[in-house]
Amino acid sequence: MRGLLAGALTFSIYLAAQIGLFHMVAIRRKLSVMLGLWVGGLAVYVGLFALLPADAVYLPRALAAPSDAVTWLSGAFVYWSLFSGYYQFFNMADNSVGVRSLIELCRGPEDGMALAELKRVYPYDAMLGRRMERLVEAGFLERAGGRYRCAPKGAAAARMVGGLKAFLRLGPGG
Amino acid sequence: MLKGVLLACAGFGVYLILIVILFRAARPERRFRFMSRLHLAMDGALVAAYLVTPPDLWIIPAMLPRAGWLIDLVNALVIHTFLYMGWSMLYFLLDRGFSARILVEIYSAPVGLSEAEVAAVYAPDAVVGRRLSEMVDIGRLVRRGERFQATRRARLEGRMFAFLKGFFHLGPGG
Repeated sequence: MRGLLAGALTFSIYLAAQIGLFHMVAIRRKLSVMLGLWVGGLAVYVGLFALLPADAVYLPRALAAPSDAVTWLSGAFVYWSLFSGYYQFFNMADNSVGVRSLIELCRGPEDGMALAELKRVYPYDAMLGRRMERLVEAGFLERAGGRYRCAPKGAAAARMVGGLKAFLRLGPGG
Repeated sequence: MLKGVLLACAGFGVYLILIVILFRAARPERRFRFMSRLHLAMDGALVAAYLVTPPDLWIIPAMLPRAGWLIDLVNALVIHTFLYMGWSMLYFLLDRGFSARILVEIYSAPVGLSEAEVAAVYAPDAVVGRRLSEMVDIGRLVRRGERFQATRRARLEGRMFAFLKGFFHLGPGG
């Protein structure tokens, strides 16, 4: 219980810090900042784990675990997993095509919108251009004139993603 | 704690093997629903395996301290669920990742692609249309002829995401 509790408490502190920071400052490199905060939170986890009482002191036998390395690592894994689940949600709010479409549909007329109307308020050029800019910034793509090519990092990622898609027979997807 | 952790990792390993075999052999249509149901079934199998195996799992040294059975089992289920969540994130990246699909398309073209060419091979109707159809499937949207209308629940979710985008200064995104 000590590990689970320390992991969950550390994540709560992380969440409060992330929410406060992102609300006060418009942040551009969101993933880097969130990862930086998570790493900083590891020190909080270490401190909390040390401060929390051993399970045997206050819990019945069935719920008590020894405060060993396995418990410590389990708690750290919980802290990491809560962070990665939250990041997935955050990223969905920020980048998801489905979420943006839903927001535009909710802002639209009562009787809904056809695909052609949706494309007017959520243009494909913007959707595509934004992602290609980011891929260039992150070093996955190189731009020469009006053409884009995969940089070595992008080629490796494309091979891996393409290989896994084919292996799992997922189709082209996207 | 080690027994639960080992069983959770083994259970997740079996789950991944089953997913690979079933995706390749049966190619289920609603893959995420299939994955979630298989995960729930594996949760049941994990509990059963925990109850019928000895505390040392035949391999854990006797000198290691043991955790109470309930916290060990709860910890195993938590780890098992978080491993599944991690896999789901990878799955969504492979299956739905917009940027991943752009990378694969550019990588597959011998001289790279311009933005217009990416839009030609990865058409906007397919991108947005797929997401709208999925939202119809899960009951967030209702389709009336050519028009897509948000349900009450979808409007609530749309408002929540719009609030989050505003609160975190994320811009329109998508």
